[in-house]
Amino acid sequence: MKKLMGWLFGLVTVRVTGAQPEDFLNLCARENLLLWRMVRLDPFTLEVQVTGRQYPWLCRLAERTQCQVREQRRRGLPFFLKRFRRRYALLAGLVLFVFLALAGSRVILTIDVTGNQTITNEEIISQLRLCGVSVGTWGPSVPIRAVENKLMLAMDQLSFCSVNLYGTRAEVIVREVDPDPDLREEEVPTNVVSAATGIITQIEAWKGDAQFKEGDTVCQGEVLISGQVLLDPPPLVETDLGTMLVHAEGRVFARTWRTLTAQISLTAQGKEYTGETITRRCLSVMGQRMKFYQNSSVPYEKYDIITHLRSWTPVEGKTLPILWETTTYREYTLTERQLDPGQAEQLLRDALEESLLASLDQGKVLQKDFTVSQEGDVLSVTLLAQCDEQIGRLREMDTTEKVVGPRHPDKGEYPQDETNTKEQSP
Amino acid sequence: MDEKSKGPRKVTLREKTSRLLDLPPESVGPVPRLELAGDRELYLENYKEILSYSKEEIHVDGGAWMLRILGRDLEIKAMREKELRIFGWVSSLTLL
Repeated sequence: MKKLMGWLFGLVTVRVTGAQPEDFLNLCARENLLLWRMVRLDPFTLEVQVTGRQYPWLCRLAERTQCQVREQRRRGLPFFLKRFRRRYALLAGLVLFVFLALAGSRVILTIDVTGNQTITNEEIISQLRLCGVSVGTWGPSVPIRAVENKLMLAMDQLSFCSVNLYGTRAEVIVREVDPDPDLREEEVPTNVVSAATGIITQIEAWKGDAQFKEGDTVCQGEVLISGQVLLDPPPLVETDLGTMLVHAEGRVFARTWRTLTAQISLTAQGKEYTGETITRRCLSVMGQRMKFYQNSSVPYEKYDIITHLRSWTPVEGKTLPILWETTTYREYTLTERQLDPGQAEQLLRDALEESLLASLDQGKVLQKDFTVSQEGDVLSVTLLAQCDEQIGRLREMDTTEKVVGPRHPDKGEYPQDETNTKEQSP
Repeated sequence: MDEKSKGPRKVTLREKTSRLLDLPPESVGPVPRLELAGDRELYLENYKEILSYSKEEIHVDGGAWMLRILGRDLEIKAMREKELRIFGWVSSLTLL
């Protein structure tokens, strides 16, 4: 402990030479000057240790007892630090370091988002930036409750949001709203109409009256299952009960034929790199870019921009907002290139098949034939496909009387011309 | 030094009072106090001054008496107005 204290306060070892060194010791004791490690070297010389602050006092007392003082060595923290007192840049760096350490510990450096399922972290962080919280924001100045309210108002998908600050880390906890259930509008009278022309292979009328049977040919737009159901009277009753409007539902499978055509030009423009590149580097600290170049203009007419970002991640999974950005500008010229007809044909075939599969609703392709033709520089591929697919589509009836129930005989007939207003898959 | 060793010293009034009232001597006034830990460390309180100092012999004025410390590698570790701490190999303590 004494050694530690001595190192902290700084110790000076001196040799006191005089006729009566004991007088010097007694005077020091009377003056309450604390001396350490007094060693008698010879009858006239004494070696003592004293703190740096009391050294001038010791010299005055030695003078009073007619002793001579010679300094032997100095050691301890004050003397170590005294070496740097004229090194102003070092002192400025020390002050800057302390300032940055104190100030930097309250600046938001990372933002963690938890609790989101469908909304991406980037969306939330971007919205948070608009609410005034981003990397580099001074933590104590953030009005947390106001930010939470702004975020809730800005993002309808959130049902809960909490922002917590832990030093340099901001934690955003969110909960998303439950999606609205898909409500079936069963009280809206609808028909099931044909989406394509074909031969019916299977018809399932879950609700409503089927207008066709298997093997019948139907055109696009024809009503397959009607939502206007004729009510049968009970036995021995001859009264006309009229019709009832229902929400027709069902599935109708039909054999259909589709023709799809795609074209491509066999001459295309391609990039040819000249080999000329320009590389520029900059450091981005908390969104502030420090450029290490002067002229930012690019002398090329056509060029690609390739940007590499390297972030500083001292801890795995935690990225600090310090980015080293390397941007390379690569010059190219456009040249005419001839496409390989085989590759171009295969490209069109794949595209047509993909388009066909995307257009089918609950169906499969039974047969497909491709026809390839070339006119000048243009290659055309035609796909003729035979499919078995579900062609029934819901279409809302255009009627003013949508109440489900028997029609009153006095109200007359329902209009036969049903204007299609809405179409959807059953 | 020779005068002090001539005869028995006079008992002071403080000593008489402390004996009469059965009190510890230091409670009635400052008296020199000597504490020896083994033969390596000597602690001295309420001394007056150091008369001589070397690695083999130290003479300390305690007021009513003088203490002679003999030994080897004697070293005053710390020294204040009323306290003295001596390290070293103590072989003999003599009150003169």
